[in-house]
Amino acid sequence: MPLMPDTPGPLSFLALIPDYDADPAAARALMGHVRQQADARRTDTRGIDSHGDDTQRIYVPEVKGSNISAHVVFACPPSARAAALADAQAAGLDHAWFIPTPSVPLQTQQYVDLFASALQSDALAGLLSSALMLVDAQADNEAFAGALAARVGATPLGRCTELEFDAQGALRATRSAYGNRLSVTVSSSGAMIAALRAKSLPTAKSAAITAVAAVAMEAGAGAGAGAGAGAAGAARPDSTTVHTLDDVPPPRAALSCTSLPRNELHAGLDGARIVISGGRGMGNDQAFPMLYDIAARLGGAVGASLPAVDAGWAPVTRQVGISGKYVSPDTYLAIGISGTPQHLAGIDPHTRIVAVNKDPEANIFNVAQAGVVADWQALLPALLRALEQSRNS
Amino acid sequence: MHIAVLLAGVADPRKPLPRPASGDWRELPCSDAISYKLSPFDEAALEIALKLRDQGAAARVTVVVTDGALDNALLRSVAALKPDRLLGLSPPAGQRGSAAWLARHAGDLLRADGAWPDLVLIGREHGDLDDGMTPAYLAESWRLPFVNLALQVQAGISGGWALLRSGARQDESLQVPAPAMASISNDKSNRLRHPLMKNVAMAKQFKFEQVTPDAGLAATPATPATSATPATPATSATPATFASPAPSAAPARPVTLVQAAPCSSSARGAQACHMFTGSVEEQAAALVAYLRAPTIDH
Repeated sequence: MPLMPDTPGPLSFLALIPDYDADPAAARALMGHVRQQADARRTDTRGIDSHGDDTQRIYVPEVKGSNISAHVVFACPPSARAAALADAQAAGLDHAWFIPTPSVPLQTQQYVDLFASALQSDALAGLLSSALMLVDAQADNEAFAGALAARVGATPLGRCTELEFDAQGALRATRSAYGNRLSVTVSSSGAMIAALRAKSLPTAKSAAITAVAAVAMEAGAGAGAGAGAGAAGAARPDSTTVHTLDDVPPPRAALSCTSLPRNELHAGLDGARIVISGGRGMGNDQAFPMLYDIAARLGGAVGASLPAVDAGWAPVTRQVGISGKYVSPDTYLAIGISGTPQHLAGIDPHTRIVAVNKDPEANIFNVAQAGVVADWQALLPALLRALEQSRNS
Repeated sequence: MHIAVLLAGVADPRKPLPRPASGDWRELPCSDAISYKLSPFDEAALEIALKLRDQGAAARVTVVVTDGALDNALLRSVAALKPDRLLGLSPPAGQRGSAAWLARHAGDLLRADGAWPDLVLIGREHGDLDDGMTPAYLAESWRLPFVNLALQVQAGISGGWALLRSGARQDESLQVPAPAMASISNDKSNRLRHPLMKNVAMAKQFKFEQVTPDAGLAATPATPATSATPATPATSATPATFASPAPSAAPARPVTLVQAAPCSSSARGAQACHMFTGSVEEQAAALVAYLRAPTIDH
């Protein structure tokens, strides 16, 4: 069996999860995606061997000197370990590495210290040079990823929407740029770190695991991407090797930090089934109290565009968009929002958008399922009356 | 105290992205046709620095512009706000968006007088090619204590800085020793001030320092002066030492831009929008019925 030459692509896939308890669902999704990526990489090591007689065979070469493996590295207290390990096993990961931490969450730079030490330890250092490390895409994790990249000499790839491999096995990472107006695909090698919205990605069974490599599939061969896709996500509960990294040096001292009460009277965006969002078209802060009232009557939460937050009409915790929260409710009611790419990037593509805007040419109507051309000052009070009547009837 | 602000112009969001003459969108980062503006986050970072100077917490403010450094309109808009020093550091083609390149060259620039600024501020996203990893990457490269997504900054009572941030689960007030670095997010309290008209007029006369890393500082004649003489000696503060050893890892590999294309108007694709018509009351009633109905796939 011929050996593949050294391939430039990643051989180790690591989900990095600082503070598992912060979002176990995201952690599970990320682990599942790491497994998918490793399986896709294994699939893409298949090549085509033409013997010059128009016969094409499929061979599965050994990647020289290395194995493709899927890992998760947790930093979590002992109380979270069992659940985290169960998730790693359910995802079918090859290895689960635990860095024990206190029960109180650490600060981002402390997690950087722990993970840097772990990744550069004897146990993991051998994987690092060809590792693709993934974190869940949210602001603190992305800061963690950026800092960690600097510490371990990895290439930060940013918040990616797609990861695939070319014919040589090199990684191609796609992400948005220019305020979500340009889609760029970059390629790099060596140690890399990327952020993904893992919960929003398709599951293994429904994913078209993208393989740029041209893999010829003979009829009935059942090999290549299809088999890879089928294998991806298959749980192997007993096959995850567990490691505890007890000797990771303690991190730097925490910065002095005082928690401040948010005094948030209204429902938060996380997990909301319906989001009522106000934008620059509101003109002032007079409408937002009505938005909160509407949201409460519909069992939802209030969001805001960046300009509305900038104007002080809503707190930054309610900002939706490429630089704010990413929301995935069933319904997103956008009021006075023009529909810029930057804002739309914060809304799950599967969410139905309902738009209210006095400008019939607003881009939001190009992406909304339903809408009203109206001035909010007239419509919102009518909406509240209609909601009241609907409740009473 | 010396505060430095790292800014990266972004393509004016009110204008369409200019299509490169070759039709190859990979050339966009190097295009001269882009009209640059400050992002809301960079505006916030700049406002915080100026405010700290107004309050007496800082003696001087240095601004380094990376992306868009060759856009004179952008530099003039910053100069009109009267930083003490303003420099352009334009990454070469192929290094736009490279945090590693910035770490190597911007750091040298910020420490041009031999010591780190007491505070380095940067918008939470540095330019059009970053979505949040660059600030933390730079801080870690420079071994500076780092606070992400700060909304407000005050001088600490006993030295250092007090920063307010809105975390994922709570709001926090952090005390950070100088020198330190913080990424800034938008907040109503840090909206960028309007420059005085006389300063806008003066800025039109400026020529700006542009730094080319290989040649070192290459100041062009300033008429009038583009930078004021620092009022106080440079601080001799050194970055805090960390528990972990200094980074000894190999530098990051280069990143190759292999493909670029305008995004579709939405990942969801164009929709045929059902419009509710009639009187306002009828529209409202129809909306309520629609919102209360079970979600139907379209």
